[in-house]
Amino acid sequence: MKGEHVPFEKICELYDGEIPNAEEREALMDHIKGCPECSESYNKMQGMMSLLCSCKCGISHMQYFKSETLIKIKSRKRQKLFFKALPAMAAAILIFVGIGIVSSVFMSTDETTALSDSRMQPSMNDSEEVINIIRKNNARIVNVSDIFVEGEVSRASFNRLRRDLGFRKVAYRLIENNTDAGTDNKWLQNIEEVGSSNIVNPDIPSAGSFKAGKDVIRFRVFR
Amino acid sequence: MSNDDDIKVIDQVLEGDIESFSAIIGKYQDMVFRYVYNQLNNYDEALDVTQEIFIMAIEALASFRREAKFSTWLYSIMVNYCKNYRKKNRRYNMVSMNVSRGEDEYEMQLPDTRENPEADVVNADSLRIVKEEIAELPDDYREIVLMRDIEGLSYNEISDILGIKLSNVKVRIHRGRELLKNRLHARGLI
Repeated sequence: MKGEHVPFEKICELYDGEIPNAEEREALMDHIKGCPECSESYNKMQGMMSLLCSCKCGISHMQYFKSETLIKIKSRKRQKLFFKALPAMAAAILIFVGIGIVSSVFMSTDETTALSDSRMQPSMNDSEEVINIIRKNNARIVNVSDIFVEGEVSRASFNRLRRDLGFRKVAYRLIENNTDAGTDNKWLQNIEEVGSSNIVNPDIPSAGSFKAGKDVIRFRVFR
Repeated sequence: MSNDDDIKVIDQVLEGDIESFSAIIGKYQDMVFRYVYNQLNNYDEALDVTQEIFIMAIEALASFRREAKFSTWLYSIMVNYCKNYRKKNRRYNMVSMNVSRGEDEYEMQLPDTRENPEADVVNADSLRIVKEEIAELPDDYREIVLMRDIEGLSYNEISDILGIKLSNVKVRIHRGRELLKNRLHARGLI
């Protein structure tokens, strides 16, 4: 060490006790003691360390720090759990909404079916009633469809049949010797609401215009 | 509380007893706060960051592999958090430091942890200058001076925390100290 100053790096290591070799340590200390420049450097270092020690402040006056931190930790954990569960919750909501949509579609289909069934029911009952009325009046049933019940009756019985049918729409035409049974065009012209004589189309022949005879009247009672 | 005690507490926390983490907070809060405060130079900010560091630590506790001491692991979280925080808030920090630094220093009642405070009284003005000069140090030197000379960590611990070689730790320590010593000398403190 003679003739050389101790580098600051070595002074630091010496101060920190990071020089394991005892001989080296002693040699450095001897030099520092004898060299005013190195001694000043070492003293400055000690002074600085003393100042740095004074910076060792704490937060012991923050008495609520611990509890506040714990509260924050717990709330963050809850938040994290919530965000973790969010995709599952979203999926569950989507599933529920999907189920809701699907079931509502099926429901509406069922309801429509039920409605159509309920409409069909009276309609079927009505058809049966019409058939019964037709039979009671000695008429012959020719055809039963979704729209009408078709039959044939003698001109003599037709007036009674019209009366018995009540408020129903009936189309009819006169068939002379069953020769024009296949023509459909005439049906449309002769539809009347039986039982409500006051709104009968004047062009349609009234019940009184049919006279007893051999002729047969083919009719259709509409649902 | 030794490292074994720390491990016991960690096990309790990992089993779901969050309350027991208060022992860890109590043990390290001063150390973490000191480091953070010296890094940020803003009391309120330092308090928030200290809290965030503990929250981060408890959230990452399962990843603590117990190869190193818990304190070393916590320090590395602390150092990295501060580094990122400073990087993120550098622009704003500089403004707030200039405005509030003085107020923070004077308003704070700092407990003196020395064995005999009367023997080596350092007035508030000297303390303010020391903190100013620490704050002015380059990041690499400041963090290492804080760890070594304020927290008293060993060279090896610093090496583990910063993930740098022991030789680099030594170089940074002596350069940081030299810089700080010259600045404090220039301001008439030493």
